[in-house]
Amino acid sequence: MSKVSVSLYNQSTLTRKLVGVRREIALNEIERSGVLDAQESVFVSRLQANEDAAYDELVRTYHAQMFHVAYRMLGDSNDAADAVQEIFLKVFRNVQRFRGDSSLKTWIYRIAFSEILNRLRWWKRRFRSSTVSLDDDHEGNRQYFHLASANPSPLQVLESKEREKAIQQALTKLSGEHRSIVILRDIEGFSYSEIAEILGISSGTVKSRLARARADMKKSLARHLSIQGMEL
Amino acid sequence: MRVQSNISCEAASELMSPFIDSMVSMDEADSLRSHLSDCKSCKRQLQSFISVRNVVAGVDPLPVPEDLQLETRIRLSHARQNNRGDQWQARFDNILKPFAMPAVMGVILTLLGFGILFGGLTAPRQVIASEDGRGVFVAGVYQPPSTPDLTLRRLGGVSPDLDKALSIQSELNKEGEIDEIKIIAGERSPGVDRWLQELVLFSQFKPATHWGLPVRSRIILSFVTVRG
Repeated sequence: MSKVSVSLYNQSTLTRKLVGVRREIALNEIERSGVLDAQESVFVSRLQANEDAAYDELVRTYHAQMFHVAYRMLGDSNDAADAVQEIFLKVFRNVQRFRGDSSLKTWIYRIAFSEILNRLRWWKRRFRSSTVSLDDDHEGNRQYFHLASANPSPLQVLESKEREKAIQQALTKLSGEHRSIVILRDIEGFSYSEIAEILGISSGTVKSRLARARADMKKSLARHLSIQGMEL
Repeated sequence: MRVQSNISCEAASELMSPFIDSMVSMDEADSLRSHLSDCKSCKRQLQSFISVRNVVAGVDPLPVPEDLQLETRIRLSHARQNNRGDQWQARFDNILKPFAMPAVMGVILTLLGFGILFGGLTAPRQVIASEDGRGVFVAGVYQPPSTPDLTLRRLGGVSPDLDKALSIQSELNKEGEIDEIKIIAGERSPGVDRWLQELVLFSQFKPATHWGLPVRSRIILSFVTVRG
């Protein structure tokens, strides 16, 4: 009797695991099937045909996103702007090789992170510190602090500025690989499989690196979160 | 139904990050929930994970530099233009390179051929030097015979009084001396004959040359008496 109950329990466990696996597969299929719809396929064809309007649209659509990730990764607006231009040049140079195995957005992000991580490695070799000055309000910083309210109070301005500084500082403390994953997941909202595709690693590695990166972020942001009265 | 907690705090900690992303299996989720119900420390830790995730995810979007889009479009446009130029250059090279050497050689041979041909064609104009002493036809770079002005002026100065113009054809040898003379227009007279003999004896021309070598040539000299 006990054998039967164990068996039933295992079967139940197996069933639930299978459901989980099927859910994963289904999610992946949904992601992949939506990768290159007809509209995006036409757009890629226009890019491959070197159409002026298509490239204008490409820059218009992606330049802000590219700047955000480049700035979060590099911590400097001038370097970020330079990286953005280089990313689009690489997109242009490689678009003929794009076969639609992933969505155009994922493919562009892959190029972007390849470029950005190369820059970080180059800086590391040159012993250049890419830290961000928390008091940096000089012209290079260009007031990078957006506020939700149109007419923020001085306290809101201060809080927003402090939050921005704390997050950027915490990100800068992470390694390039960990920073990439936090930005892609928590700021850009990519799925684990998409992140794996962008960074060229397995989903399992994404999961473990993200856990470590979040733990490091938690330590770095501890003071900020406690000031904000959040749970720690 | 309550599932008994069967994972350690360490195992629970590892599940927290994927748990907040809904990336754990149902079993793992149940195990974690069960553990959290008994472990306040892990519950606080999960709450802090969620707070960190929310703070990072809620970061305000950055304002993009105003000129970034324009600068990117311009730089991209230049790259694309250069690429178009390179593509055309590559096509041009691929098509023409196999023909380049034969074409150049063809042009050179054509120029050479026309040069020789024109040399031959222009030879009749230089008919005086077209034959050497042995009657061999010569063609190519030809310089006609010439003479210092003083000689002819001197000779002309003692020339007889001519009623009509006198034209003579003179054969010059390779030394520039007159070998033979022939009156082709004008009247002969003893004075004219004597003067012509003097001309044959004393005149010295610079011989015609072909490719820098002296050759025989033929010249026509005309004399008139200018009165008053």
